[in-house]
Amino acid sequence: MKTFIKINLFVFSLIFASCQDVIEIDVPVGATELVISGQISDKDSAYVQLSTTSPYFSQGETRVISGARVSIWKGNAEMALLSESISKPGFYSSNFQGSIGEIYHIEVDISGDYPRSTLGTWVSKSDTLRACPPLDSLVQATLSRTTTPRAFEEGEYALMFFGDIPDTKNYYRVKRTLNDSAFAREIIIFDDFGLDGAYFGGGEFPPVSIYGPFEEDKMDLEKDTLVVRVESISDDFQSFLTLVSSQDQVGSPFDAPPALVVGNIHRKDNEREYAFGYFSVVGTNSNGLRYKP
Amino acid sequence: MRFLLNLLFLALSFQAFSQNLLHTFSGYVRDAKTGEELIGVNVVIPKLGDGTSTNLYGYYSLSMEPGVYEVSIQYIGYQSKAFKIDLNNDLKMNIELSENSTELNEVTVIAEKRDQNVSSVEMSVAQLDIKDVKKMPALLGEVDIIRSLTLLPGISTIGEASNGFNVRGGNTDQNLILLDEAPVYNSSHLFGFFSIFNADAVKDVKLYKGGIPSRYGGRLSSVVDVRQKDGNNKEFSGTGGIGLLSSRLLLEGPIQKDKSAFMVAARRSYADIFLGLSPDPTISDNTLYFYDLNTKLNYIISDKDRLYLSGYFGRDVFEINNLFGFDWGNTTASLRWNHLFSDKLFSNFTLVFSDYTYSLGTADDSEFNFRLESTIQDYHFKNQYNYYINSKNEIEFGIEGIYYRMKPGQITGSVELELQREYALEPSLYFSQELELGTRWTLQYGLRYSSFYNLGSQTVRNYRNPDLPLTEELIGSEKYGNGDIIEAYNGLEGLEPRFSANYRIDDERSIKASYNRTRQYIHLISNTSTPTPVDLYRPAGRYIKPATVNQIAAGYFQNFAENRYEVSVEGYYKDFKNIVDYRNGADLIFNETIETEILPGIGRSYGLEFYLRKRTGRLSGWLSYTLSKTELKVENDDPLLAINAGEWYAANYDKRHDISLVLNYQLTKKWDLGMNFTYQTGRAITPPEGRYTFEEYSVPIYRSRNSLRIPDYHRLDLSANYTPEKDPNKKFYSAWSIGIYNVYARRNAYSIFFEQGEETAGASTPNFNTQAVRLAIFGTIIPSVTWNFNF
Repeated sequence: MKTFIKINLFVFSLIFASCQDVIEIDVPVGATELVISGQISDKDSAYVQLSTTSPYFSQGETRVISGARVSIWKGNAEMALLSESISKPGFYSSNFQGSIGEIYHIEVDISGDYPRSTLGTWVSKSDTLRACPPLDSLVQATLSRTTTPRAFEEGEYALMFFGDIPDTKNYYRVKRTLNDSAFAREIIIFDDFGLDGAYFGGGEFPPVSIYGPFEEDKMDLEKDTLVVRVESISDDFQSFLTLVSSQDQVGSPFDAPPALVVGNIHRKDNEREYAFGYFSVVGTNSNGLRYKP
Repeated sequence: MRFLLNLLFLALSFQAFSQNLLHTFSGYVRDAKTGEELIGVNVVIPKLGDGTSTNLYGYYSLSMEPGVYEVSIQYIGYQSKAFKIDLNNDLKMNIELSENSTELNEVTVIAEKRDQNVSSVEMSVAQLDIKDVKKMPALLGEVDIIRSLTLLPGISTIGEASNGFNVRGGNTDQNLILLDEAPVYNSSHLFGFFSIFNADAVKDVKLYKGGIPSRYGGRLSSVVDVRQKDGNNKEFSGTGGIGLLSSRLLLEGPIQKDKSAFMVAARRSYADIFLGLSPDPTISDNTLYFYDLNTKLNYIISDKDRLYLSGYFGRDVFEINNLFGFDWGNTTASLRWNHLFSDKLFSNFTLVFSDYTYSLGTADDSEFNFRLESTIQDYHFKNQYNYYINSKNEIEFGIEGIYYRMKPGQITGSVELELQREYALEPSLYFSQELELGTRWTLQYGLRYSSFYNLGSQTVRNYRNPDLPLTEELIGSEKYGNGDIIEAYNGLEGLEPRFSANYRIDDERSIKASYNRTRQYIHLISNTSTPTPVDLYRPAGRYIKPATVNQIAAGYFQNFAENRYEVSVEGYYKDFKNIVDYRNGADLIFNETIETEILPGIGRSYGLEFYLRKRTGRLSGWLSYTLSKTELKVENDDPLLAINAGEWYAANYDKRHDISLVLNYQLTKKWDLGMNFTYQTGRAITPPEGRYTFEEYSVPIYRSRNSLRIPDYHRLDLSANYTPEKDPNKKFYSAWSIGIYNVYARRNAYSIFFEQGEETAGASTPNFNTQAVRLAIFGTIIPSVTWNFNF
């Protein structure tokens, strides 16, 4: 029997030795196109980044677009003109902050020595700045497989207490930074489907474990500081982000086919001619926690 | 409808009038040792150069003028029988055949003057002898009927670990898989590594790629008709095996000798047990296993009546870290009653229940526990008649009704939610006639008429443009009560003509052609490379239309060297309409407005199939080659909804060349050796034609769908089977099978994906390395050993 078990373990180790390796392959190179991304919120400065697409395997820096006129609009009224950063070409910003319930879009005029396909006036689809529920508190707690909420690995965790805004369909994006460093390539989105108006903090629903376990054996004197920012985003932006994150690695047997990810930017006089990227309009709140060993 | 009934009445009346002076020679052909009815046995009358073959229940019927005839009974793998009959009256004769124990001798090859391959009007049929399948090399020693079928021309899979299979350019949901007439919705265990069919329990398997008889309907591309063993009604016996992946046991025997019998077969994998022994908790805390149970009872009520009750129950269970789990599986039950109204009129009444359920969720004691369950159930009634007018003329007709109950999704636990349930009815009737004209022509023509009713209760959403439902264009909804018709597809488009013709050039050569139109009313909603166990079928309705395909095929068939070899070349063309594709990034799980994610498309597939087979002798096997092309097209005025800018694109399972060589060599009486070699050109994938930066993401730009090919696939498998000589004084005997899968350890690419690497250091704007990565499911050789036993 022991021999049988050994043979079996050996064979299973072979089966699970499915492998991935980096290979060289030629892919087609498409035309250079415009990329516009940015955000307006009720708490932070508005910004827009202008750049172009690159060949897939290109190693050079992304080409940026300077000298453009970038403005924020509320209906037919221009609310702010964004200025380009000197140290960071292609990055445009303004101190303008949006207001809850108002509808905004941007206009971008591009001229100069850039690919013809990028020139002209581009606009984003208008979007409403949605209210974001307050992030009541972040609390440190010891969690294990037997606690509520449960944790697979026992340790110190950060619990987030907050409530959904009732009677509306809401999508929330969570951004986390630890010691001022954002988590790389992290898109966390949840919605209130079936949970309209729920409060996560006791009673029917426990608080949400948002980070952990903290590393206990750090030698630094400064302890980990966690900041959590929640953004109230539109259905369209949620779809866009979900699609972006799903394209990070597409190819296993149970992956959907690769998709063309297009956001909410189009040429002003032709809705069917689009640019890549997304301009988001979000309400936001944040809170922080310093880890106590 | 009235037209069809009139046609049937006229055909029957005419035939009855002209056949009054004939006598009927009829009966069942059975295995002498087990009493199992044998399917497709040739009952030949050499004097007339004529004959028939037993039907799916082992019944034959030949009507001839009075006289003395020599009868020859021929069935590959069994000893032929020849005897004389004096046909002065109707004659009933049940015939028993014994298995051929002298297969080693080349001279004992059955000398059929007109082999079934050449003489039958059937074409585009793939059939394997289960005994041959058991000798073939198998992954982990698990004898796999579906995997074996993919070694035949025109049948393929997207790659290893793929749920389902593709037949002549058809998607995986276009195969009607029947187990004792009950549809099976998921034919795979363990995410596609193994098929659900326990070969020990299977008597016969036949796959129709084209020329599909009118008795079958409901799927576009193929029918796989799997028949379970009836049970040994002579003596109690058992079969089993212990392998590296699973163990199995089949028991069968008479309940009342020669009158009734049972068969029960069980199989369970034990990967979970061995995974649990791993010191690595990321492996040991996971659970992965499957089990299945096949059962059958049969009862001979009288010479004219026989009952069969059969069932299947299978489950796969997969749990991750004891926190989250899936389980899924099929359940089927069939009750069939064969009744002979006369020696010429055979009937079968069938009642079927089929269920496919999956569920996924957290452990019940989780603080926020949930379970999502989804089910498709259907209830069938089928009544079929075979009327054997004479040896050259046979009519088949019947009716069928299917009632579907679908539960697309129900969440229970901390939150209670449910998507609307769906109900549908699919009634159909069919007729076909097989007619020999002179000595050279055989025709089989038929018509199936199917309709479909999507039924309430349900609230149906209305959209501004019903042809392109968009979430933002929702304009209201309508409520339908229980049983109300929401959408009916009952027009002339439900006519499905079927036609096949065989022109025999001589006894060894023939040319065949066929045309069939098939229609499919339920669609598998899945946009992954291969369907997952958590994909579910949805019915045609207000927004999802029924799909149709027209297929024409023609072929040349020849047997030579006294039928030791058979060769065929077939060409086909298929034209698909209303096939389902999906919007970019479609969200298909628990989606109430699934219609907004679906895009209708068209397709075309054409190809050439070559097949050379040596059936008997020390060396047997086949060589198959398929040259094919399958393309799809989804057009739309909105460039973001059109796929590949509305141009034709290759299906992701499209492979231009597909070659298989399967050999078995009987080395000695105790040892036989097996070999499979497969070569396929790479399947189509979508390459990025650029990228852009969004936040920390390098987003690939995918425009030209499936325009790149992955590297070619090839693999060699070997096996050796050791069967000690049977001791005539002992009932128990055993055999060993040793196998090596992927002998030269090729890392065949399942796919290539494109991923983002680390951010380039020192760049003033975000910039990322990107790379292409090859994913191989099996990275090395996989040995296996299995001990099989019989008693």
